[in-house]
This record gives sequence, structure tokens and C-alpha cells, in this order.
Amino acid sequence: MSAPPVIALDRLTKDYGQRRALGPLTLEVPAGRVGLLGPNGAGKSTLIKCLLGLVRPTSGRGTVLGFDIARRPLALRERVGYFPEVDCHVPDVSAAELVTLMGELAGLPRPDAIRRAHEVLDYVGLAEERYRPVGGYSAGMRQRVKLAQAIVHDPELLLLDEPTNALDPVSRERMLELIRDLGERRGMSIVYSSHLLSDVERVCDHVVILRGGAVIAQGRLADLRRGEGGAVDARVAGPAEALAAFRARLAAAGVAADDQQGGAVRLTGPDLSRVTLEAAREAGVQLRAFRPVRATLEDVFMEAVAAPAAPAGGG
Amino acid sequence: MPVVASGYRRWEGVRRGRAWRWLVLARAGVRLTGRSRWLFRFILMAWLPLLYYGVAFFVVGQLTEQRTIDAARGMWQFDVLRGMFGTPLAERFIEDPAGHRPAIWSALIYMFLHYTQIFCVMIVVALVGPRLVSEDLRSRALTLYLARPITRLDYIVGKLAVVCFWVGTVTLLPALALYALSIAFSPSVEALTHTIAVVPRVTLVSLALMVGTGAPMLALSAVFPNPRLLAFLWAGAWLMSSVASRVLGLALFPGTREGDWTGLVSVSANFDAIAFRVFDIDGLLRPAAEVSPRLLRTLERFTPGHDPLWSVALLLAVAALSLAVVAVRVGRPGEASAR
Repeated sequence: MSAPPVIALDRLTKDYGQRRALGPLTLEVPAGRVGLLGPNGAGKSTLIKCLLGLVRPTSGRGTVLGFDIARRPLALRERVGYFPEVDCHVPDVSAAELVTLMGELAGLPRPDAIRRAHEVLDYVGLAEERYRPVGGYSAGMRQRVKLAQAIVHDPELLLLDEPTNALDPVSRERMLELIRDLGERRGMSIVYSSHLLSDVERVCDHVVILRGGAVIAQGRLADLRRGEGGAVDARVAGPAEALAAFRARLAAAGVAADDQQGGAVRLTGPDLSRVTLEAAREAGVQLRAFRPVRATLEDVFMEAVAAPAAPAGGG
Repeated sequence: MPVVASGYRRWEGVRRGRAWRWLVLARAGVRLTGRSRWLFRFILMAWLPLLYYGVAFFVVGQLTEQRTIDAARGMWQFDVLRGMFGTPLAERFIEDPAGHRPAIWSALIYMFLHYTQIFCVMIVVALVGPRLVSEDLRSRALTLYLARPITRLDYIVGKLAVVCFWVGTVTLLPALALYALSIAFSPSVEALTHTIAVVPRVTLVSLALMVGTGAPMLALSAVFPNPRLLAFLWAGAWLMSSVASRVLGLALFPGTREGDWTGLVSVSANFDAIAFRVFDIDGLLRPAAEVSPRLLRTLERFTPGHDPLWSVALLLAVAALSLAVVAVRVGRPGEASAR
């Protein structure tokens, strides 16, 4: 029996006046680390705010960790951590005080909130600086404080909205490590919204791609990267006539061969392994490399975004 | 770097109920605003009138004891009393000093609130209130707050409680302290039973001051982004409302308080009117004033020209409108930023 989804949306929509910002969205997000991708204005942040109950959906319904987002937002917020996209802090308080306050607001008794605040601030790498007012922190430190306040109450689900924004490469690396650790080793489910594909690729094992408020692609990252055609990059060597014969045999079997940089040939078509091996043997060419093409997340994203609007699963 | 990096640890405690989450915000707000040295100094200053009123209560505590009166009968102190209140009232007082306790206690505590503490409320609210909501809006702390399991109402109540707390430190707390002092100075325990009604009255008036000043200040804080400017505007508007009321009163109702509604324009006069009714100053002092022209003149000077119920209605309307403004401004933080 498969685990219940952490997020389940049923024809969820959100309108701002006449403008539809989201949906209708039907979506099930499994436990684990899920990337939420989409170009600017795709509805990622609106979706996250809907999931937290910060924004009331116009129609449809949804549950997060089994709690209805419209009817039980307080119960779900006790179990969800939120890392907002915007720079936000409580003025004139230190990181230790801010994180303690956020823990208490999430329902932790004060002694527990104080202890947890120091634990998570240690975890995100804020040492003595935790006693300084957050207003004087660098952008990287503020992002770490935002992560600390999001996990102080030990949430089951962490909603991260552009967590590596404004970070230098070292801080970004550290942030990604922390997020990956929380998801992989601490068992927290993570929804990671970003337009930085490489970050999502490093942290997530599932992705949901939004465009214009609708889901246009979703699934396991490994499946999406495999690609539909199952293309193969091959490298062959032999006399020119043999190579020509090889290409002719491939063409006859319905396999397209496109020259790539560095002498490789990208083959696409049915039953590639058998057809290519037979064509090489019959034409007398040496098959020196035969490697399935693994699309990057960027390929998947660009392909999904460029395709005409035909929502995948999400309505 | 920590000596032992423990990494991330799970938390397995029991969460507290949601009913008191506003208190967390209130406590944090009080702690934060309490760091102001100006506020601390001012509150110390606001307690200074206790010295004066403490002496006054010591004197009346002694005077309202039958034993003291009996012991002093025929001595010069009687002449002082006659000089102060006039012979008929002094005679009435000498007959039953303890019976005058409720009137004297109520009047003194009313004076304490009327003369000094209302002014202190204006200053304390100006020192504490302007940043309460405006800073949260500016720094987007609201996004952090409302992503927690709290409602907008929790947020508003929590912030209002911060103002109420500090207003309480210059109204309710010193008034109760003064009352406790007065009881301590009284030679007999009877003073407590005669005057205990002062406690709920002080509480009620203090509550009116807390909500009546806290709610509008929260609304202004939610609208004005500049706390310093708002503090000056607040104090200026308060003082100007008194001046405007006085000028209007002289222009529209010269020489009479009958039907003079212009007190409704003044912030102080409205709170005074409410306190006057809550302490039942007229009901308690009228019998004595009937035999003392001086007391009658004083009583009439303090009697509001309008029905204090209008002040209560005005206060409630302003508070409701103010809280509605805060609710709209606070809104759902996501809605505003997502547009």
C-alpha cells in the first residue's frame, strides 16, 4: 500500500479579481523532496500560500498532511514549516529570541522553544551571532534564520520558497546541504519552490512544473529525465563507406541519426539497442560508445514550458 | 562552532492549546517595548503622584476613624475641618466619619486618575504604540507570524494587550497600589469593607482607558509608517481635542454646563466623563454638596455637560472602527504580496 500524499489538491483555483493566478489544479504530492518549478508568475508562491491557508482558495479543495487547507489551517500550520520568499524578520530582536518566539507561536512550551531555538540555530550554523539583532545580519545569515524558524517546531512538511535567493555560492551550498539533510536523513517532507533548476535537481527526487497556474509536468525526476524517446548517444569508427552503410541501415530501420559535437551521433527511434548493434555488425563499423541520453532538468523544464498548453494531470 | 555538533534533533513534546497564543505575542511585545529607557523613566515618573496621594490617604484614613474623631473632639483640628468644609458638612462628617469613606475614597482615586494619570496614558501610548503594527508591516514580520497557527484576531489581541499592559502600569497598577496603601494606612479593617467597590471601579475605568487608547493607536500604527511622526501626531491631536472642546464650549454654551456636548470632542473629557459615572462621583458627593456650597461648586465643575453614556458609545465605536482598520491592514499577508 503506497503512503498517503502529503498534499492533495482537487480542482483548486485562486483568482485575484478577474485574473486567475492558480488552477484549476488537481495534484497529489508524495512524501519526500518535491521541487516546485515554473517560470516567474507561474503561481508557485500563490500555491504555497494556499497550502498554508495564508491565501483563501477561490474554489476547489485541498488537504495538507490530511488537514483541509480552508477549514483547518491552524492545525496544519502546527505541522508545517514555512520559509517565505521575501526578506522578513521581527525588528530589534536577536535570532535566538525570534526563533524562540516562532516556536512558542507554533505551540511549543517556552522552555522547549528556547532549547529548540538554540538547537536549530546551531544546526543552521549560527553560533554567537544568534544574540545579535537580526536586522543587522547579512542576507545569508537572514536566510539561515528563516530556515531555523521554519524548523523550530519540528514540522512534518517544510515549504521552502526560493531559499537560496540572494546567497553567495558558499552559503548556497551550505543551505542546499541543510535542506537535503532535513529531507534525506531527518525524514521531513519538503516542497522546494525555485526557478534555479540546478538547486532543485540537487535536492529533490520529484518535481512539479507549473505554468500559468497549471501543472504542465510532474513525476519522479529520474523518470522525467529519462525522456520519452529514450535517445542514445553512439560513437562509431570505421571507413567512410562503412559509416555510410551504417547510417543507411539505421534509416531503413526507422532510426534517426543526428551528428553531435565531438563525433558522437544521437540516435532516436524504436528498439535502438538491437537495431544499432545489427547495423554496426552488418556495416562493419566499430561501435565504441553506446550511452543513453539523460536529459537534464533544464531540458525537461524547457521542453515542458515550450510545449503548447496541454496540462499534465493538473488540470 | 559548538563543542558538540548535535545536528538536527526531533521534538517529541506536547503542544500547548491555541487559546492563549495571543499571550505569546503580547509577552514578546511587552518585552520588546520595555527595553525603551524613556518608557522606563516615564513610568517611574508616573508613579510619583502616589507620594502626594499616599499622604492624602493617610490623613483621611485617620480622619475617618471614629476613635480619632472622638479623641480630637473640641480640639483645634475641628476648627480646621469646619474651615475646610463649612460647619454643616463638618458636623455631618463628625457624626459619622466612617460613613463618608466610600465617597472620599472614590473621589480621591478619581482625582488621581483625572489629574495626572490620563496625561500619563497619552504619553505612554505615544511611546509604546506607534511601532507595534507599522514595524511588523515594514519588516514583513506579519508573514512569519501568520504562517504560524495563529489567527488575525490572535495577532490583534496580542498587540492590543501590549498597549493595555503599559497603560495598566500608569493607571490600574498605581491606582490599586494607592488603594492598598490607603487600606494599609487605615487604623481599622472596616475601611476595606467600606471601600472595596473602588477596586472594580478602578479596573473598569482602566479598561476603558486601555481599549479606548490602545485600539485607535493600533489603527494609526497600521496606517502611519513613520512611528516618530505618529507619536507627535497622537499627542498633538489629544491636546488639540481638549483645546477645541474648550473653545467650542465657550462659543456655544457660555456660562452653563447644561446640555454642553462639546466634551465629546475632547479625548480627556470623554474618559473623565466615563470615570465620573463609573466612580459615581455625583451620587456619592451630592448629599454632602447640598450642605456645602464650596463642594457643590467643585462637583459642578467636574460634572460632565453630556451624558457619560455618549462617551461610552463613542469609545466603543472608535475602538470597533479602529480594530476593523487594523484587521483590514493586517489582512492576509499572502494576498497582498501575491498580487
